[in-house]
Parts: sequence; structure tokens; C-alpha cells
Amino acid sequence: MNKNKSTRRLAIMTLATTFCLTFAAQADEGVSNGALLASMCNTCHGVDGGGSKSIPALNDLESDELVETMQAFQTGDEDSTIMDRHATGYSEEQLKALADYYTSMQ
Amino acid sequence: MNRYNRREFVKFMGAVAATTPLTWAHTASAASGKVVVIGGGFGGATCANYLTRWGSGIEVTLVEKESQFITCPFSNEVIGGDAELDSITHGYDGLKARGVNVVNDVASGIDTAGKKVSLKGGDALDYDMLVVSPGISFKWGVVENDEEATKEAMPHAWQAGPQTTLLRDQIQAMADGGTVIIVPPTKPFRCPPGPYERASLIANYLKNNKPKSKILIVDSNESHSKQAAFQEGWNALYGYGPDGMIEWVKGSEGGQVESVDIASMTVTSAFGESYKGDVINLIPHQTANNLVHEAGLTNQDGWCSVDQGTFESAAAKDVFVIGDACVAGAMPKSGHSAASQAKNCAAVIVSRLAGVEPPAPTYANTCYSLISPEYGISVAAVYQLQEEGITKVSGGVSPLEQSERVHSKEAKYAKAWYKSITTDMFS
Repeated sequence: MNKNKSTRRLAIMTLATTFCLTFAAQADEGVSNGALLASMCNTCHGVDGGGSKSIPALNDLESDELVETMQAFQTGDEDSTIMDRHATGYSEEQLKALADYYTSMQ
Repeated sequence: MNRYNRREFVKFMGAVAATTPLTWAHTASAASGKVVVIGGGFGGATCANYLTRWGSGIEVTLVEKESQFITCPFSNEVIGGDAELDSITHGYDGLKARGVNVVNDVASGIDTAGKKVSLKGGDALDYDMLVVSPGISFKWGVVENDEEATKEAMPHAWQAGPQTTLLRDQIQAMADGGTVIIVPPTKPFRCPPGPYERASLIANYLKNNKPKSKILIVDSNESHSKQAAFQEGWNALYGYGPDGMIEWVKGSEGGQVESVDIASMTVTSAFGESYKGDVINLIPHQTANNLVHEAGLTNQDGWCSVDQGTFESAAAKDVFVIGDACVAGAMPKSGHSAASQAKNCAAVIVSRLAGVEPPAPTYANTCYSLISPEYGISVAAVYQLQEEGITKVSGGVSPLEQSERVHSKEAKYAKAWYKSITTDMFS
């Protein structure tokens, strides 16, 4: 093994070690705004937003689709039984954080 | 180790040492510690579940006196004969599989200074953070004879289980033409729409089986949850008012019940009116569970004041109170509210144990009520933390004059909600 190979291998080992430790730590590091927001939705929309009987899943929507649908509930463009009463409680920033969280799980 | 490898190893260790401060910083911020959760209902079970989801290094112990949880939501369906108790009974195996240490015992005391929970069985549990989700206790004696009466003659059925089936059996044994009296407690109480949903589903049973019967709600309150939507549904399905199947007597018109008499099966109001029932459902006045009273966690009103952003007790550090027992601003005392509070609380604890900032609090509530098994209504709200505490920023009750299809959809959503919230807690 020449010096270049050795250096490369060393770099890979170092990165791998750092990555593993860091990743393990990050998984536990806290709770994002998106994760907490999604947990509010999941009470009705199923574990991890996977849907529950007649209540639809959220975790397979495109990010834009979720934000646009919630905004349509806010304006009344989309008919609803209950979601208009929920949707108007959230800001665009919150809806984007929520959508990004679900997208990151896909 | 040959020369080459030794040199490589030394270089590698040097590189590891160089990255250690970064890595160590991350490792140090991973959440770890001992969290004890008292109470395995909507608040406690959800909190224990989410502590394990969000903080895999946390040792979570759940203390619950019962081996199974029977939900108050949908217990009115059991009373109305549309469901069995089994369908609202849940075990703790899912939480155990997540790594929660489920201790089947009674928390008999909390030492907030020594950070210890004592158990009736004799053991004690140390904690770094304590979550208390103990629910309610009844305030016996507010209505004269209430404690004795509710044992058998006038069941409360406000903690689901044998009381639920006792009330159902009494209704099923009643003759056609009989009167069922429901006495709701004075606000605040667990599940504000509960007494009125109960009247609805009992009416549904009576309409189909004993149509000459009557339901009288003798209520110390002046108004009630989802009032207009309930009354619209009662009018449509059962008849509402003196000539209908359901009649509601409010506090100022003789509903302020002061005493009950088992022998004559009567309830008597502060103004002296007496009402005789064939079946009486006497729901006692409520306060936070006795455990938190004894631990010094309650305020002058008998409920637990908390920081409404974190749910940390105003009376003790590192102790969090969630669910029916706490004062949570505009949120009603519902299972959904408790679950919402539980997730916020879990996020705060995980973040605190990891030494990082918690996410921005966010809260929601959804309560469906069934006026019949095919006719649902709801109240929903989203809340934000504002200066005055948890404040409603959107929501409301199902609008009036909706189609049959909308009510049918809300009834379906009610069942889907139940499946979802219980799976979210217990899986």
C-alpha cells in the first residue's frame, strides 16, 4: 500500500467514525419544529401520518401539495368538514416545516 | 501489529483525537436520563411513547395501577348498546415493546425535593424528570349522598369500566316509558361534551327499543359544549324540549342539583325542585387527582398550574403535569388535549436532557361527538402560546344546517380518530 492509498484509507476511516458517532447523536439530539407539528397531525392522521381508516395519509404527499391543500382549506377553495377549522391556525412557515418533515421521511 | 500498521494506527488515533471534540459535543448532547411517567391514559401513555420515539437514550418508566386502559371516548357507545367494552380496552404491550418499563403499581407519593416516586407495593423510583398525568378525582359531597349513590344506584360511568356496563344494564332493564336522568357536574370537568353525547346515544337506544321513554338532563351549568349543534341534532333525530325525548334543564331553571335520594330515586335542586328517575346517571364534581393534591402540586382551585409552554409544574422543578389535572389555558379537558400536551412535554424533556433548545410549542384539539352512530359533530381548535398562556387561534364547532352526508362523514371520522389516537399511544 503506497502513501496515497494509506492517506485515503485513513481519511475514510476517520470520516466513517465521525459520521457514525455524529449520526447516532443527531438522531437523539432534539425534536424539530416539523416533527412536533407533524405529531399534532398524526393524532388523527395515523402513526407517522400514515392515515387511519377514512382519514387520509399525509406522509406520501409532495411537499407543495400539502402546503397548497392546507392553504386552500384556509381560503375555502377546498371543501372540508373539519380541516378548515384546523388549517387557519397555522402560518405558511409552519406549513412548510410540516411538509418538509413529512417529505424527509419518504 | 507490524511497523506499517502501527504507524497507520498512530495516525488514525491522531485523526480521531482531532475530531473528538466535535464528536464528544454531539454525544454529550444526546438525550439520556431517567424519566418516570405516572398515569397510563391519553396523556401518560402518549408521553411515554414519544419519549422513546424522540429520545432513544432515555430510560422511561410508566407507573399505572391498571393492567389495561379502558377509554372514556366511545364508552358512550357501550352505554348506548352499540359497542362492547372490549372494543375500548387497550393493553400496554406496545409500550413495553418500545422499551418502556411499565410498572403495574399505584404511585402513592411524590418527593419532589428528593426526586423520588414511592409506590404502594413498597418500591421507590428515582427520576431526573417526572411527568404526572393522573387524571381526575371526584369531589365527593358537593352533591349530598353522591358517593354512596354512585356506587350502584346512580352510576357515574365517568371512569370507564364496570360503571359503564352497570349504567348500560340499568338502561336496558328499564321499562318503556321510563325516565333516564343525567346530572352533569359543574364545569370544569373531564370531557365537556361527554354528558350530552351520552344523552344522544342513550336516546338512540331508547328510540329503537323503548320509544315512549324520556331523557332529562338536569344541569347545574348555564350552557354546554357544542350546545347548538347538539340541540339541532336532538331536534332532528329524537325531538328536543318538553315534548321531545330529550329535555335539558339549566342551572338557573332548576338544574342546580344539591342532593340525591337513593330510596326514592330522586334528585333535588337548590330551588327545591325534585326529579324522579328510573335510571339516574350522577356524574360527580371533579378536581385534579388526589395524588397531585397530596404532593402539593395543586393551586387554590384544585388543579395544577404549569408553565404552559413546557408543562413544568409551577410548584416543583423537573415535574411536569399534563392532561385533565393541569391548567392548560383555553384547552378543554379532553383525551386529544392530553395527547397534544404529552407530545409538547416529551419534546421539552428530550431537548432538556440533550441540552438543546426545544421546538416551538404547538397544540391542537379535536373532539368528535356522536348524536347517533351515523351522525357526528365536532369541535376543533389550534392553539398557540401567547403572553396570557395557551390561546385558541382557530377552530370552532361543526356549522349548523349541514347535510346528512356531512354528519355521516363526521361519524366516520370519529371512528377513524379513535383508531388513530389509540394506535399513536399504544404502538
